[in-house]
Amino acid sequence: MNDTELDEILNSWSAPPAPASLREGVRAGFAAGLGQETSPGVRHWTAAFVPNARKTLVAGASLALGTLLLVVAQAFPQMFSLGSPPVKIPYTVDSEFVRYAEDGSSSIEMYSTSYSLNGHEILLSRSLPGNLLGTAIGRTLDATLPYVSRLMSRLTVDAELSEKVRRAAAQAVTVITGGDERTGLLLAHYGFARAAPGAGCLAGPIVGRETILNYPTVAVQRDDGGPQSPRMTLWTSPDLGCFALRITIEARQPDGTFRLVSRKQALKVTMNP
Amino acid sequence: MDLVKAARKGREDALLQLFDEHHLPLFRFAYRLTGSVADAEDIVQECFLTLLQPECSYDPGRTSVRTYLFGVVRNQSLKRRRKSDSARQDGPDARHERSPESQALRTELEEVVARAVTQLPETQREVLILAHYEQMPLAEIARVMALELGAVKSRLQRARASLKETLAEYAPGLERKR
Repeated sequence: MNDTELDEILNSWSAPPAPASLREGVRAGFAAGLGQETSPGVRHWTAAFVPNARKTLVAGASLALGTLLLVVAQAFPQMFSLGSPPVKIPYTVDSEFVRYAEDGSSSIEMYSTSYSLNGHEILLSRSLPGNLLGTAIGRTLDATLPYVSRLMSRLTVDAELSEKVRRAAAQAVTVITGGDERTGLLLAHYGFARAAPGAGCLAGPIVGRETILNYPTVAVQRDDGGPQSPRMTLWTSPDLGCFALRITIEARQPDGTFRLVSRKQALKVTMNP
Repeated sequence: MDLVKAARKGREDALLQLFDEHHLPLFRFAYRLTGSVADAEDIVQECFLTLLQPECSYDPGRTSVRTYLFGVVRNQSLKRRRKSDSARQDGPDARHERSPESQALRTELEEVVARAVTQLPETQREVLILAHYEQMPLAEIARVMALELGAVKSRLQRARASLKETLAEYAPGLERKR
């Protein structure tokens, strides 16, 4: 093997993009004047503050609680009304998620109805076309996982830490990009740093402006430039609380071009009177 | 005004400018050293906050901020890696945390390369990652790692020779065994 061939092979190992929460963690650390030993990343505050022995207990409790909630959710679905948030929903967006294969063929992965609250996309319902069982399991997971998460947070996170996480979340916009590749059952959420006040929704290079379903959007592209890191483009609507009316994810090819991997597209916006 | 000085005086925009300029290569470096997105995120965050500490040893007269930050990431990664190696049994691949999209893009070859690089001796691994993935000049690598230039060159050569051997069956043009 010569040097060029080795370089080619080494280039196949890509690093994932830096999480958006990293920037917010630095900002939060700066604001809080935190020291080096007390400033783990925002996303990992919970884990960092739970002692190891307790983590094992927490993991066991999570599993047991998750199982219990799954059973209860199936038996008494009316108990789980997380889909009805405590605030008035100003609008809903019906979206379609399409996945593209390497040969260019496409398939609809999911339909969803959601809205955005304070920059965070909240799912109301979803369905996986032609997959009744998957739809049922997915809905159960959507209903129960937030409960588990909230309960675990209450058990493991103190008030000060909760406040730090809340502040960090307030500085981010989160979107749903689809289901996981293998089963489509677990939702993928991404968080992005907010733009400066008056500069749109997301921080990052603006690559276009387009009106989608009569709502002006600003397209921002996120690409860390890694050899095989995916590139994401988000068309967010300031009028809809920074809801992303379109999201594309593209894979970087060896020749530097990009191939479309998945696309989220809003189909209908319904304003609630 | 110097960005580090400005950040120490409480200017968040200065810190964020430093962050925007340097965090991507630092994150990639930390990720490739630790094999964990979570650890890399924590390390890079700590790295920038270290600059604000009164006891921070950064001296603009002696080194660039980029070189200093890479040095901090290297030290923090080593510390974490040693700590986690003694605390857990699972290999670096088990610690990879990727989004569904990026997981889908991860190929078999990528896994093999990641494993091969991770299994290099520590100093060879660091030199290779900085030289190949971050395209850092050898003289700067020497400053980051506090090594002689000659030592950097020889470690890079040994790392590449070792990888050529380990990855021989994946050479372009050769049919894979599996």
